[in-house]
Amino acid sequence: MIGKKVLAGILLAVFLCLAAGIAEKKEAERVLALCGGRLITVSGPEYEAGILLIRGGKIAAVGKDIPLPDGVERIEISGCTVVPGFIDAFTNLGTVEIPSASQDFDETVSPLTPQLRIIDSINPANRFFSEARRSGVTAALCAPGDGNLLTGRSALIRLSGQTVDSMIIKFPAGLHGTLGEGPKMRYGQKGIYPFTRMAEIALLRQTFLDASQRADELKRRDKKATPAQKPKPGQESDQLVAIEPLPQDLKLDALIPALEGRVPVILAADRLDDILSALRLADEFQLRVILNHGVEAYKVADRLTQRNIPVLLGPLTDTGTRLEQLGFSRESALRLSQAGVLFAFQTGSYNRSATLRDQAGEAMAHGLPAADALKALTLSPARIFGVEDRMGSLEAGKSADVVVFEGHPLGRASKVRLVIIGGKIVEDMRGPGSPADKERDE
Amino acid sequence: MRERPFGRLLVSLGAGILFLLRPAVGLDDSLIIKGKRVYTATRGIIEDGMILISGRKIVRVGKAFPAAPGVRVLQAESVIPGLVDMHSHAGVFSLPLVAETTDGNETTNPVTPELRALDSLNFSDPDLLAGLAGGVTTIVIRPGSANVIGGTSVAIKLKHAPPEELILKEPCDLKMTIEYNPVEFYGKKGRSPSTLMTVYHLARQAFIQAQEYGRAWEDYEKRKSAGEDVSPPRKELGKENLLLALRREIPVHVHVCTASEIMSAIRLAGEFNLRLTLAHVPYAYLILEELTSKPGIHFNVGPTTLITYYQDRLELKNVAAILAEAGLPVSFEADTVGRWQRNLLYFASVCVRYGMNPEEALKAVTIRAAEGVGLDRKIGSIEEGKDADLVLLNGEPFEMTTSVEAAVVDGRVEFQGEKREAFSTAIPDHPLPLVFPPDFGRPDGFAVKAGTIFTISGPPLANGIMLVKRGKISGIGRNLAVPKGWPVIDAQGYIVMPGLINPRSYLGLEANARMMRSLDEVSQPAVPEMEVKHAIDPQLPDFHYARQLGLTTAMVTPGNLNVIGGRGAVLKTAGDVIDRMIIKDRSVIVFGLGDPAKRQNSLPLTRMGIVSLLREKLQKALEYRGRKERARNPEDVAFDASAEALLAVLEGMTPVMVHCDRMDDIHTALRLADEFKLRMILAGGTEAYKVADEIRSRNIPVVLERVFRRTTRTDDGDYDPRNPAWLSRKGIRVAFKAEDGGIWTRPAVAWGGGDLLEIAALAVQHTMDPEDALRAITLDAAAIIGLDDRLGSLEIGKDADFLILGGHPLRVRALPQAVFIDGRLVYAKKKGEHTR
Repeated sequence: MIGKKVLAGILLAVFLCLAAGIAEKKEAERVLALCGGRLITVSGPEYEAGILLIRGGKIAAVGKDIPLPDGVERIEISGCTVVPGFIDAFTNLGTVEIPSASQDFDETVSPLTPQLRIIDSINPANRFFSEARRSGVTAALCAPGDGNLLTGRSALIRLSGQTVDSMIIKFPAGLHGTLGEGPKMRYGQKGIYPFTRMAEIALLRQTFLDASQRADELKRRDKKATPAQKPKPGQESDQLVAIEPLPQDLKLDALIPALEGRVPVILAADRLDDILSALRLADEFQLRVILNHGVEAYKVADRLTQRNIPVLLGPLTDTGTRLEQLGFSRESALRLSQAGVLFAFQTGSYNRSATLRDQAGEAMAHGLPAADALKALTLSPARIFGVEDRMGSLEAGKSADVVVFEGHPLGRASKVRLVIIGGKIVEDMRGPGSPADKERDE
Repeated sequence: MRERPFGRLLVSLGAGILFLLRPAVGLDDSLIIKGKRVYTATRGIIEDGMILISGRKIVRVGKAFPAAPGVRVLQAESVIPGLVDMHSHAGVFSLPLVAETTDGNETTNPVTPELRALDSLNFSDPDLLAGLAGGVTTIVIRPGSANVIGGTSVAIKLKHAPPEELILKEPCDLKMTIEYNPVEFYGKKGRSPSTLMTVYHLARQAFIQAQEYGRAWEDYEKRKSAGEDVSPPRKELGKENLLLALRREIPVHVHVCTASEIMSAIRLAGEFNLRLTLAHVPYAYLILEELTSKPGIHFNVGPTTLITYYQDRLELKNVAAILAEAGLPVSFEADTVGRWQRNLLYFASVCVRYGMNPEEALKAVTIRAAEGVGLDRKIGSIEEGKDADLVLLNGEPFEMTTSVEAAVVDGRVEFQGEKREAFSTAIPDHPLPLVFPPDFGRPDGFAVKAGTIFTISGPPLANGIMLVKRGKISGIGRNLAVPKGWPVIDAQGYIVMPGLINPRSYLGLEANARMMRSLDEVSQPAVPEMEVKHAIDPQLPDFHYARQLGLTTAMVTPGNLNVIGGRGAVLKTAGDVIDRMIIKDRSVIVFGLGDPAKRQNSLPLTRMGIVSLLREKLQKALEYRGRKERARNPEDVAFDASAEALLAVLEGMTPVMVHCDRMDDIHTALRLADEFKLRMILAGGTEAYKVADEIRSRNIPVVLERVFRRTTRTDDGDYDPRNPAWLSRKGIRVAFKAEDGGIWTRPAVAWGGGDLLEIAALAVQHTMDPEDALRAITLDAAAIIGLDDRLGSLEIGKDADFLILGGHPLRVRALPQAVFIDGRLVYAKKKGEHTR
């Protein structure tokens, strides 16, 4: 009996997989053309009444007078504007819906939790994904919450998919840490080291030092085991046997890619001196540091430019209630931009990605040109996370993550009409009578 | 610091190349400073001296010499080297001093050598550069003393430059504590250390482990260089720092207090062959002989500079003077956070006031401190080749009336003060003990022949005579006949002035024989019925110190932790029986507004709560009066002690003293004064200058508190040392609270801020008129406590409360040589009282 049920189950699963595969294939062959709208490519020229051609989930062509192939699905969007999908550069998306019911983004028991991976906490069914999408956000850096000295590792994800794996664009996108008030108020207040900023830095330095020694030791043992080191014929091979594997250490192992420069270290720091501490740390361990939040980053903008340190700026709509945020300036985006710092906007929460556009609006209200603001929502975060070859602008070959706006894409009252992720229409808000609605009705 | 010859060579080569690349010394980065007196600190004083600065360095020092025209010239009365404070906590405990900005004490672990103060340094601390206004140009910032081993310290220059450019040296030394502070932080919570012996043990243990660590690494290096394939030991930041100390590359800087703790630190340094600098060292003078036999130890004195120990019987000892006199290297520290950093020079002045050689005092705030952290080749004196860190003063360096006109750091003017008229007097200093007639005793009448009498009510009287009969002044003038048989005190060359009046004091309420205090009855927020006289202990040594400072009258009041704190009383500071000392009972009721009066979990949690409570109590008192008036027999109305006390206020018999600092709180006080028609005295008054017109129009006097002291509370608001000057210029009657000091600052001299003469001099430095300043501590204070008919000036019929000073009252060395209360000698300074 049971066997039959299992068999039926297996058959059903196989069928579903096949069906999905066919659908996937169909999707891959789908050719879409957004016609008649204004195209803001971010990386290149703008086109009035242009055509954006999408094939196989990627942008196939951008411009005017593009010949449309047969079988193309033509979507008329005249009067609308097409932009690359927005990227929220720091969030805890997908990890909380109702905080009092369940939270999966903050492991508040130890100041050092680099072994944590955000992908193990993301729930693709989380309602804030669609909320974000419907505001034009198509990708986000999803990270553990701030507060531990080392919080864990983040992923850059697209905001569409049934499984976490299908959502991941890049993992690990960064190793995250928090400087300043976070750890000391969380642990120090309970009598747990660190209670001071100097202890935070000492603990970080010691941990990176330990990881660096571990990396050396792993290499040393590895070298010992290479054929060159192997005993020559006739020699005893005791030495090989003697190599004991190092005891596992997930925490330190998580740091090694950062020490080797393969993964950036994304440090939340607001006060000037905390930012300077982050820079000192970067120097000492040759880390690729990305500043997170960076309330006072504008005060050291020139040095950030010189040293190529990007900033995940914001949230600008929240002037902050913490003491370390007293140096907040509404002009900080403008100042960073003027100094040539690479920066991206972020909303820094599990539920507010839908306000990402407001971050840009706030910066524009205080002097940031619209083009720079748009860049900080699209191409800049793609650059910061090393995926600018895949996303961030309307260019042939890049993932077709685009948003169609009615009105200026950064206008508070503008409406999102269409959201396409990987060539798929994931949100269609063209109102009653729109093709998507009809499809649904049928 | 161990020499690194190649490093030094590279640096100098680099500098040389830069020098060559630079256009010929431009006029733009040159500066000439001329001083009537240039105090070099290492090479004496140059009269009419001149200093040429190029770039960041001093290139020439000497008597006036020819210089290229067009170079900017600054001139001053005195020029001294930039001051160096080798023990500061600025930036690591940054304002507003709440948990979020408290980063100086890692109180989770008593042994933390891995920490660097640099990593806690808040470069955005609004008061990080506050020292500049007091001529401080270099500070060494350290972890606090909660831990046995606290971490390494960092030296910074105070200047307006990007943070990285401020850093002068890191690490300077390793901060340690062999004293009870760790016991306070850990032991009291049931953790280790809970005794001084454990404190020492933890320190020793750490060094032993570091030695083992060092050996493990040596062993590893040896085996590795022999070709062996070995894993290295774990690299540990804390032990690396301890090794720096063990290798004598950096000294240990040990916080100590008692003589036995000093010896413990020396024992530890001896066992591990450490370089040793000692911090605070209040009781070092007790083992002078032992210390002089142990060369190489640096003594960083402060902030407590005058001290007594059990065996000293109330004599204040000038630790720095005694150590320096014995040839030991002494520096000063302000040990501060926030704005108080600027008072380093003031500490030196206090030591000079109590007999320290000014030349040594200057060294202590400059070259000696630089030596203490190995920076003496770079800073600390006015010499060619050194950093151009200079301070321009408008008068003599240690006069408290002298102000800093400018501070130059690394060749640039980093602080420019306002141009101020320097205080000067024709009256010569005469800091010698007074000689009394033989068998002076307690005569019924006597005469004082003075150099000058400051009557306060009139102009100074040169070569005057004052007659005292049965405790009252019976005559004052130039050519008075002294009644036959009266002894005459020959005080020619001295100054006579009225006894000082402290209009708000906690004298006798704090630190009694059981180390208990009776300041605030915090069980209830409003206790108008309480009276200080039932708690004052006149046998406390505090009374002796008050008399020694010339304080002859004090209005003792409850503290500020209550909305209504209770009733105060005015007393003379001499006597054994409180009932006989009080000259005006129930003289005031204290109200507290602002944060200190708030509660944690009952009314009032807020300012509006405070005021609602005050209004309620006052209205209830009026209601009570109404009930009594209406009752056929007033005795039928149950006695309400609280309402009775407040009725005295509401009927104008007793003034209220309202403590408030912030402008909005002062406005609140004025609203209350208007609503209930109160006779009001403002106390605190940090932001009073902002509300001066409103205060003036209501004729409300102000008792200023902590005027030149610690200003780290958030309530302090916009502190400005010119507050007294501005208020008195507006015509507001101003007086000063003489502070009573804390546990560490008892007696309240120097750090404690109990000396009204000092406060007056500092007020004059900050532009208060000298006459106003002297009146504030005498006649105006008397008027505020309602006793100007018998106190505060030297006039016939008034109480014979007076001081005999060794110079003009505002001069630094003019200490009271003798103090009289009601015609009785209550204090006479002995020769060498403070320096032996």
